[in-house]
Amino acid sequence: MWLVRELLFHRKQHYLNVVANAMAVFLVLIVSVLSDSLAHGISDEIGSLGLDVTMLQVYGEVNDYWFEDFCSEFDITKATPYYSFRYEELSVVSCNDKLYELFEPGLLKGRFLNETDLRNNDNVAVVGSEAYEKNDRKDTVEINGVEFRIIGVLNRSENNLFIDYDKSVFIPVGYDLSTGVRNHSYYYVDGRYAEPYLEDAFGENGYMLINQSSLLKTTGQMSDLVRKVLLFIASVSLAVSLTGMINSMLAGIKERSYEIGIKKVMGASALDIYCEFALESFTVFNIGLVIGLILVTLICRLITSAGIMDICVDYMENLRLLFRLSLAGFVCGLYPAWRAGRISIMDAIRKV
Amino acid sequence: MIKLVDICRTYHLKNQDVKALDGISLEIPDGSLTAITGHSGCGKTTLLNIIAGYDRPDSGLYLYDGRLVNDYDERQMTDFYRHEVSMIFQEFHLLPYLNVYENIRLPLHYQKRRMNNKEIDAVLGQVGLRGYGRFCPHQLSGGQKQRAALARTLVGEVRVVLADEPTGALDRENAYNIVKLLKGMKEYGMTVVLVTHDEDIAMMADRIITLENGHVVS
Repeated sequence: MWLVRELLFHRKQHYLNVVANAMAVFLVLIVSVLSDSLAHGISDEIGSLGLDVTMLQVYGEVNDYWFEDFCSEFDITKATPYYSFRYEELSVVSCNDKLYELFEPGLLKGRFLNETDLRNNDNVAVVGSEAYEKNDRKDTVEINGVEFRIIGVLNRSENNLFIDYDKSVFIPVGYDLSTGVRNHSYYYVDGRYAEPYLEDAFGENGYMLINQSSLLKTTGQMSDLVRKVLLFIASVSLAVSLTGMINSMLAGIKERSYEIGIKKVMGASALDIYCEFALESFTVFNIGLVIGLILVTLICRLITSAGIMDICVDYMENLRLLFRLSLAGFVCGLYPAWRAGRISIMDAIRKV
Repeated sequence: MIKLVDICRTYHLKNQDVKALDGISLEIPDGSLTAITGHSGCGKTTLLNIIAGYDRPDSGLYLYDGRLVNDYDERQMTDFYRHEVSMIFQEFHLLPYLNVYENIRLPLHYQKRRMNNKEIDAVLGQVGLRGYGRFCPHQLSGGQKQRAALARTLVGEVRVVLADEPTGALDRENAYNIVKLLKGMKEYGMTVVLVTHDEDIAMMADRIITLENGHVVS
């Protein structure tokens, strides 16, 4: 009860502290909450792609038949080579019929390459929607002087990690029409046991594997790093606010030596005064913390209700952060409290 | 009993040393009302601060009930303030944000004792302040504030009450009433030491000690 009276009596001294602390806490919490939400959003987005396809890219020239051996060795049933090169504005891809099963891009019309096309090396192609438009919706497409009959057009592509279908032309894997650089990539599923083999076959730096889990891991690490950097920047404002609070408390102690003197005359020990001041600074900081928390909740609700982003403040997840903030406020109040406890009665009553 | 032996206290100012007390020796018996008088700057308040334990002498002995107060550590001094001495100031020194009840409870709080409002009302009745418990200091007159300070001293149940010009800020009538109350504290077995300029008030004491330039002259 006394503490409340004291706080109210010295409210002018505490107003600015509370505001500064609230702003600093708000900044730290909003950075934490927003970066968490963004990280979850990115993870969900990657997760929602719904694929666990692994992309293997091999650097340098490789035998075209090694991949078949690789798939049979590791019982990989859904797999396709993906040899691509640029031709004018198109990306020409040599692949097999499994590509459609792996990514299920959807067809606007016609069909995708099938086993017969591949076996006979027919001059057939499937085109992306943009490539089809660029080719003036013709029934054939010419690549490096070879004419291919268009047997299917893909839907306009939605999110996909690896392939931009729209500008691609898919031809049977037997064709190699490239005149320059041809990228050797492969897509497959269920090949997680193959990684040691790949390292033996191509060396540590001879290949690259990308799959959904590695992407999730990488984006997770990236967002965690960004979160930490942002939190550090926000913490600077907190440090400034806490320094201000220490300074203001120290100045306040000088002004309040009268009150300290009276209490000591009445029998307060240095420890009593220390505890009272520590509790007071702790309370002042925590009022700021609660205001900051309320502001963060309001802002998050506002953002969510405006449909900008779906943010949910997970108080339990931020509990450790709140505890740390509160502890920081408490620790910063200890030094002024110690100084208050050290004031002698003579110093205090002389100033009265 | 309070016994001071050859007490000296010098204040070191910028360019000079000021000897506030120069070899003071005196005894104050239990249950007495002693007045300390003298001109301004003669060392009255310094003497009172040393008796209260707020200040320490440069040399000499301060014995309280045969114990050497000079050697008290911080914890013993705190106990000394809690249970042995209490000071009444000219400016009353009530905490402005607490009402009379709460101001009176202040020494009890540090003594880890409790008193309900009814009990405090009884004490307030003794100093003529019944019904003022919920008043804040700014709502009281000077005389009422000093009575509240006296009530605060009474509930503390200390053995020695030191009063540093308690009537300095009061009119004649209030001043006499306060001194009467101080005199009444003797009945509770308290030893009262009163610093005053006013000879009439000093005459009401059992004993008068006059100081001059840091010495006891009578």
